[in-house]
Amino acid sequence: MNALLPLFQTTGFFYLTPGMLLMWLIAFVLIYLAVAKDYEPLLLLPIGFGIILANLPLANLMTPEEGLLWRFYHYGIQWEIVPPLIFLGLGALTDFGPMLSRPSLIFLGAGAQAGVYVTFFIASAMGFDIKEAATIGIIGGADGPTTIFLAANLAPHLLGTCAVAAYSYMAMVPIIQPPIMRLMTSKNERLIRMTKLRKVGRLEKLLFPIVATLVIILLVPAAAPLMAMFMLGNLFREAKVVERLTHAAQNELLNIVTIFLGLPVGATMNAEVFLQPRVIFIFFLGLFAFMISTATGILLAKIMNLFLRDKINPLLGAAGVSAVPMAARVVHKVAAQEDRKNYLLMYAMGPNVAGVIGTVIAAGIFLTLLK
Amino acid sequence: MAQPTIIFFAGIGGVFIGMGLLYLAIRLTSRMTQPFENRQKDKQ
Repeated sequence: MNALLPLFQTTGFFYLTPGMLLMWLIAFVLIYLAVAKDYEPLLLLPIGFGIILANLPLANLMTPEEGLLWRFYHYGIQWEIVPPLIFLGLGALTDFGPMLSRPSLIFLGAGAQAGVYVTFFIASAMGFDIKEAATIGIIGGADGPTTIFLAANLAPHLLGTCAVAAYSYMAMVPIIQPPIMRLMTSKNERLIRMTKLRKVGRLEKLLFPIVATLVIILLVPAAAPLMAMFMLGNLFREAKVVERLTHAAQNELLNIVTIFLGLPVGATMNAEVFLQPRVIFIFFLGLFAFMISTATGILLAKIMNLFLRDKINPLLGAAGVSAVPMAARVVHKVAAQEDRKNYLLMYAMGPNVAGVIGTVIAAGIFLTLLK
Repeated sequence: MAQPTIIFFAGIGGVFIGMGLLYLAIRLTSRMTQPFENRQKDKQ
């Protein structure tokens, strides 16, 4: 028996802790949600598997300078490569037409960022370090890559927690948003029909990514990595002369970097870091941020209606969070429950893509002021 | 709480300024490209 003990000590079984087993359980829940419920499977599946890998004793996958996942994390995320590449793919997939068609709706994408800053302020008042508070607040933007980008810069120890919170809430948009939307709008407001969108010309669409790059990066240089790649992807799309690049950015590249984003993010969640009481607060604050963002977007739409001749349906404000296209679909669905012929999807895509830009600006401002 | 308060107002203000500038840029681009778009339509 004594001879077997040293042999047993060379295996990981000897070093398993209850914390690690609990993390496995959390990983199984995420994998279950991804597989059985189709909740953000592209991210939650690799994140869940990454959590299992990070909680295997002696595997050393996250050992600095040595571990395979540490290299993915260090060179991919800490070096700020993977989140901007995700944005390149997203840019190639995004049609800014609905936003350009009615530009006033882009302010709804700004209004929905108020939840980010309200939550930042509350988290700061609750005793979180100011950089941690910023990272928690950005969950309200409902933009996974931006949350990861900011966390890697300001609070790397919260990266896994905030990323999982952001992607979980993005997946739960159809559950979280509708009650807030109904609470904040009257039936008459939900019945408002929008005026017809104008047709946006090709030249206008082609110039937009260049103009937006100049304006946003000159204003918030810290947002450059994400904004530059987002708009480059969109330029590929709208130029219509580099179909191969557009296709690669939309498919192969986006798929590959998604793997290299999810796996190391999950691997940052080891038991010592994750199993702390304050993680529950972070999840709670993230949910709060998301709810406030939804509410402030709707509130801004109602305020805009005080001044606009052609009234806008205030439900569109809820699409100002960046969860594309889920938030826009939810807006359409809630409006259609009141009037089946009220087709809001295309209108909601305007504030929805504006929300992505708004969240990137918000993250850039945090970086400028805190890094 | 001075720093969080400053960041709170600078942040919200900054996002609205950013979006405001983008709005103006879109309107300007739309105005400038209109003659070209109309010419294209006429050709078709």
